[in-house]
Amino acid sequence: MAGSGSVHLRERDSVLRVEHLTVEFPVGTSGAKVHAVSDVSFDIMKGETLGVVGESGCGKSTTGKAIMRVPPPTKGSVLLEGQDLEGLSANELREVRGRLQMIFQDPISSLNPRRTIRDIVAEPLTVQWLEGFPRSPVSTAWRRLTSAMTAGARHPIAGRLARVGLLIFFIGFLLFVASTALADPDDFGRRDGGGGASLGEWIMTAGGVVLLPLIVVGAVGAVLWAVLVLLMPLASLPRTLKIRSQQKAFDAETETRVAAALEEVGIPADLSMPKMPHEFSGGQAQRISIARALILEPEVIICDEPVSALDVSVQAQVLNLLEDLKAKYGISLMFIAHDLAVVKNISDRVVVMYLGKTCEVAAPDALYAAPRHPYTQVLMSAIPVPDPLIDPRSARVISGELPSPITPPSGCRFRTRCPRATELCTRAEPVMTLAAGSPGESDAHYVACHHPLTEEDWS
Amino acid sequence: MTGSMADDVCRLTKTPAEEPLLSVENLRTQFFTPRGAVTAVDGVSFTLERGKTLGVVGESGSGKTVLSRSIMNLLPSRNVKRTGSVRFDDREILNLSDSEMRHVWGKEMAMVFQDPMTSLNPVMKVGKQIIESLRLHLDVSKKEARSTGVELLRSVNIPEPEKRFEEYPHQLSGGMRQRVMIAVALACGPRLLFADEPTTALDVTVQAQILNLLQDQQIERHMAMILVTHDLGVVAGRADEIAVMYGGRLVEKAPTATLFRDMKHPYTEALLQSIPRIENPSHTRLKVIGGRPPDLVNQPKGCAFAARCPRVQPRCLEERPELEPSLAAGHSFACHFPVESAGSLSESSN
Ligand SMILES: Nc1ncnc2c1ncn2[C@@H]1O[C@H](COP(=O)(O)OP(=O)(O)OP(=O)(O)O)[C@@H](O)[C@H]1O
Ligand SMILES: Nc1ncnc2c1ncn2[C@@H]1O[C@H](COP(=O)(O)OP(=O)(O)OP(=O)(O)O)[C@@H](O)[C@H]1O
Ligand code: SF4
Ligand SMILES: [Mg+2]
Ligand SMILES: [Mg+2]
Repeated sequence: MAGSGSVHLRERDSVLRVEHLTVEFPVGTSGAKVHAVSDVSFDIMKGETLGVVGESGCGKSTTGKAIMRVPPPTKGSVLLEGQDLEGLSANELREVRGRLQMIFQDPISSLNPRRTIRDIVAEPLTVQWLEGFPRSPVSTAWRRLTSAMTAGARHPIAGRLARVGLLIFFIGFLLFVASTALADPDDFGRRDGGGGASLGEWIMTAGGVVLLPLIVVGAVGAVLWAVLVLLMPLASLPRTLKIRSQQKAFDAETETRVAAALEEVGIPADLSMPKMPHEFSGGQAQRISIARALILEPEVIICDEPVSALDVSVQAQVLNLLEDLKAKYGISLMFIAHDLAVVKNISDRVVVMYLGKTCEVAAPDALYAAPRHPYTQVLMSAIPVPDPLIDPRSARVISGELPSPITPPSGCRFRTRCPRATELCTRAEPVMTLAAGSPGESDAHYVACHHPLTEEDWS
Repeated sequence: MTGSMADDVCRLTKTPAEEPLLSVENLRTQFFTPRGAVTAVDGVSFTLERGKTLGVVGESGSGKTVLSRSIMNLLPSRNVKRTGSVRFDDREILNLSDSEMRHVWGKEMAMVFQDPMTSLNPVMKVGKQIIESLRLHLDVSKKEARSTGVELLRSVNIPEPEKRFEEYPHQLSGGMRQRVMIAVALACGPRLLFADEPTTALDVTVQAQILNLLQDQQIERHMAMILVTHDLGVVAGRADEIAVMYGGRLVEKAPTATLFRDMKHPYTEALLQSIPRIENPSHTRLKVIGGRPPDLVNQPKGCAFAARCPRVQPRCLEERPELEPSLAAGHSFACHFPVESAGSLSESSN
């Protein structure tokens, strides 16, 4: 499954299009890296739910976060309605973030425990509203200066220069002291180190020359910073006053919008708004985070295992709620989970992931009726079936652990655990190919496997 | 192999196989909180035979964990009251002191918890934790404990157990950590294992592995197990009997096949119907249980499920239904207007 390739991307306009997404995390100092997501592509149409399924550690969350650019992908592109998120200015990115929201697995801990439900749900609105008031030039300058100075202090070249400068200076100093100490005292008891000492002085000066710009820049920066800090309260006054004057109207409007969002997810607004997160059950907390995601009327919501921490009865409520919201507002969803039965229930199209790669892309019913990738079959047989007549021990349970994403297997990444693996799988990485249906249509079924399952395997 | 070894070490006393291993009667556990008395377990009775598995199913907050902990006497020491009777191996253990219970923990009963990360010490090597827990219960040298520990890890299918011994919990995957916890729980060859949502924090592929492992060990050691979960799917093919808990009470109890063939309580039916089934077409509307779990401080006068029950009648609000036997052997339920017979299973699976 080490599937790469992007033939499964559709030609039509997609709301979200992810191409060749790669995310790597450096580990240690040896240059090794975690290949968390490697060349993953998919697209989501308007009003469509894309399910992403795979076992723990296969890179589902990393994919979702890379789309949100926290952190940005190592390689690859993310297009929201055709607009590439790479290279957007901070302001443009903020605007985009309003159209792209994310909700997380652990409902209670993803809500700030010290704030009321009203503030939590209103937060995206508040942030956006405050951004509508331009900051004073002084405070902008202060922010720029602060980040520039931090960056400068951390900059590798500055650091190296400082170290080299200090070293040179120290060598010169040693030479000077040594030559002076070794020289014979003259009649007045003074020692003249002669050539050695002047060489030392010369080297010290050279070191000083290297260090000087750093010292000057640092000092000037510090003085400037202090001046800006002193000026800031005064300079920000107009902005503060302006915010104050509009606060009431904003609060009133926010109140109605928060109430509407809460009612939308089935949380009684009047009672709940003054409460704190810990006063809610897991399912309610998850609905509150959905309300927060909804409040900016996003086009896409990335749901990262929104039901995995919930018990089955509450899970059903949240799944139904997401279905209703999608139908009502035409929102597109990216729904991440490890349970294929859950993913199948809510999705229009499913991507199966394994160890940072895509294995199979298909409509959920086709995926269930005719799985092509051996790993999909494994995922399917792992689902606990509430039927005592079916022996869970007869299911095809995958053995072993997920291989290390630092040194993923060559060729197909699934080959170390795959019952169908051959020598070819060690050598060559399978590429996404059309296995059934017609390209671009909803029946298109893609798989990345050298030896995909066939009809005889399904019966 | 490991099983018999641990058995030898623990010198299990064999008792006649007739009477049940565990018999719980009218167990009630209350917590005294500023809000009032929380009745988390309310009059629970059941028996468990040697080597059998009881599945305890219910939503979050229904009292599953408190029930397991009440039986094991692993509750906080303050502001808690337990009444009723817990007989283990024909001996009353409800009133044993902590020091007396210490002979029971590990050797007779052990527990695997829901979250393997919080139950392992994050700053101590895995091997050291296993050795310490072995030496706490068994009179063995460090060296013996070490080789037993390595054997135990091997028996729960951990590859390269010697290497794992030197690692810290965070270096192991979630499934691996849960295997370690199972190894620790099995260390002294307990005759009863409580598995409190052993797989809820894990993904489905690992869940299947862990459940199979528990079952293998159970058969090998002839150990009884109480498998706690919120998902009827987890216990369906694995428990001999299922007890459904709601608001601290048992509302239905039956041999597994009977329960799925002929479930009587509307809550059991609702739990089953809320599970997404892989064989259903996508976008099949899931049945939900509306409303909230009951307040355990002020339990309603009638049936605790009445406020959420699709079959509710005036009588339900007035009179609390008791757990009463039905016609089928071993099947009892607490409902005035039970679900009609004729296969709730076939109905729910189409
Ligand atoms: N910040 C990071 N630094 C280093 N490695 C990371 C980082 N974040 C994730 N990883 C690694 O990347 C891989 C993918 O992780 P990710 O969290 O995306 O998996 P997942 O599919 O969401 O799993 P889960 O079901 O457990 O949430 C894992 O091996 C993980 O350890
Ligand atoms: N120490 C305690 N003090 C007060 N109340 C408690 C205490 N421990 C548990 N409870 C309450 O007892 C009830 C049952 O809790 P329990 O943990 O047994 O539920 P559970 O069925 O195991 O749920 P979950 O699936 O969430 O683990 C809950 O309402 C809980 O708030
Ligand atoms: S007794 Fe009534 S309320 Fe309770 S479960 Fe049965 S039908 Fe529902
Ligand atoms: Mg994740
Ligand atoms: Mg519990």
